[in-house]
Amino acid sequence: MSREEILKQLADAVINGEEELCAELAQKALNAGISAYDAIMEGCAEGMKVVSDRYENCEIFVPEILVCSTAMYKAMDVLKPHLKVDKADMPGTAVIGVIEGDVHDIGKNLVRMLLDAAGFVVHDLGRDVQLESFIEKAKESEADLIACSTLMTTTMFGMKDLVDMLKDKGVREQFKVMIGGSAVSQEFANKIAADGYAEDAARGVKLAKELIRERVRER
Amino acid sequence: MALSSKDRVMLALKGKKDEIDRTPVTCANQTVTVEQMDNLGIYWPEGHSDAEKMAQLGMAAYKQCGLEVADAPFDQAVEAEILGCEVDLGKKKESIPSVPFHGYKEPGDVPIPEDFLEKGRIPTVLKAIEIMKKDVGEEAPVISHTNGPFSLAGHLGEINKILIMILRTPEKVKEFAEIGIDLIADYANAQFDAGADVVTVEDMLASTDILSPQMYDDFAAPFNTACIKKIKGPTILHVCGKGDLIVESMIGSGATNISVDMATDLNKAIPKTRGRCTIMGSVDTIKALFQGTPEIVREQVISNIRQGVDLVAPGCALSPLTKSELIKAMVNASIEYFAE
Ligand SMILES: [Zn+2]
Repeated sequence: MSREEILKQLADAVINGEEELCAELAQKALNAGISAYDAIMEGCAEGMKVVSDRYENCEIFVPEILVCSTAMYKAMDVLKPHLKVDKADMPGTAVIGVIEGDVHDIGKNLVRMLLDAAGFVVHDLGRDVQLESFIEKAKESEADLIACSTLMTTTMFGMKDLVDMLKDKGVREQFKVMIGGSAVSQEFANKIAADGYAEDAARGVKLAKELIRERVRER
Repeated sequence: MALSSKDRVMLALKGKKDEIDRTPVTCANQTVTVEQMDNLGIYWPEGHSDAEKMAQLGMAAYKQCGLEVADAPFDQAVEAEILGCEVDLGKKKESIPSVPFHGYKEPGDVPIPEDFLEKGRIPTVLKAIEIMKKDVGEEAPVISHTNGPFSLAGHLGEINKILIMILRTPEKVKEFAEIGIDLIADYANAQFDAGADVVTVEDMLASTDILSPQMYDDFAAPFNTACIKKIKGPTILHVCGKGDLIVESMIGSGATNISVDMATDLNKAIPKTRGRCTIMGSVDTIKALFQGTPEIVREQVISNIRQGVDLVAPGCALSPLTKSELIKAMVNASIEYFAE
C-alpha cells in the first residue's frame, strides 16, 4: 500500500468508527515508515475533520462522534509512543475541564477529542474540576490555552472566578481562556474577560486554533 | 367564584380551555431558588434529604411568587441513588445533586432492592408530597417528578458509555432502560398515593442535543410509553432540546401533557398536539428568566399564549439563581394579558 492509501484508510477507519482497524492501520503506517506525527495529522485528524463537519451539519449525533473518537484513540494509542515530542510542531497545549460543581461532561469530551485530533497536547482534568487545578496544570504543562465548560447557571460564575484568579496570580497573560456550555454565551465571555466562547465542539476547536494564532502573533 | 390555581392547572392539563379564566402559569420541573431559600432560612443540600425542608422549599415558588405549582424532588438522582449509584448531594445552597457514578457494565449488575420505595430519599420525597398536600393541596397542584427510563439508564450505565452502547450494543441500552419501567411507575404511583396531583416524567438525558430523533424513538420513546401506561394519574412528559423534532413520539407516550424546552419551535409542535394531549412551555430559563428583565419575560409569556400553549411554564428546570421578580413577572404576564 502506498503512503497515501494507508493514511486514507486510516482516516476512513476513524470516520467509520472501526476500532481494531484503526489500531491495525496505525501500526501499518509506522511499519511503512510514516512518522507518528504525519499519521496523526494526515490520518486521524483528517478523519475527525469529516466527522466534525458531519456533526456540525447534524448528519450525525453525539453517539456517532463518541464512537469515532473511541476508534481514533485506538490509533493514537499506537502512534503516541512513537511521537517525537517537538512542541514547535504541535499547534498548542491545552488544559480542559468542567468547572467545579458540574458533572456534565459530554460537551467537554467532544472538544477534548477534537483538540486531540487537531494535534493539540491536551490535559483533560475531567469534570467537577477545582479552579486551582486548572491553573496549576496550566502552569506545570506550560499550556497555551485553558478551556472550561459548564452546563449549569449555578457553576458558570466559577469561570469568572477562574479568570480573576489568573489575574490575581499575575499569570492572566500567559494563557488564553475559552469557555463553552449551554449556560454561557459570547456576552458572558466578554463580561468576564475570557478570550473566547464557542457554541459547540466543532466551533470550539476552530476557536482554539484561532486563539493560538493570536497568541503567536502577540509574542 | 374565582378558580384556584389547582383547578386552573388541572383543567388546563386536561384541555378544558372553556372552563378556565386564563392560561395558568406553572412548571413541570424544579422551581426552588436561592432567593426563596433566603426568605425561608431553609437551604439545600438539607432540602434534598429532609422532608419538612423539601416541602417548604417545594411550596416556596407558589407562596412567594404565585407560580401555580408545589413540587418535589428537585434533582434527578433519587432513583439512581437507590440503585446503588454514587450520588453527590452538593455542598452549596445552590447545588443540585448529581450522579458522578462511573456506570454499571451490565444491566444485570444493577441491584434492585425489593422494598425500594422505602430506600434512599424516596420516603423523604413521599413525606414532602404529603406535607405539601396538607398545606396547599386545596389551592395549588402538587406536581412531583421522576426520571424517564432512558435518563435513569444514563445514570446507571453512565451517559457517555450508554451513548457509545447505542451504536455498539443497542440491546444492552434497551435492557438498561427496561429497568426503569416498573420501578419508575411504582414510584410515580406511590407519589400519587402520597397526594401528588400530577407526575412529571423528566427525560432530560434523552434531549435532542444528545440523541438523534431516531435514537429517541428507539431508546427513549418506547420506555416512556410503557412506563406512563402503568402510571395511574395524570402525567407530564418533559424532554429537553428541540421538542418539535420528537413531538409525535412525545405525544405517543400517552402523557396527559407534554412539557417542551425553549429550543422547541412551538409553531411546529403545538398544532400536532391538538385533540391528542395538552402542551406547556416554554419561557427561556436562561435568556429570559435568568439573565432577562420583567419585560423580556412578559413578552415571551404573551408570545407563548398567542402561539397556543395550554399552560405557560419555564422551558426547563428553573435555575436556582432565578430572581423572584422574574418569576412573578411570568405569572403576572398571563394575569394581565387576560384582564385586558
Ligand atoms: Zn429540560
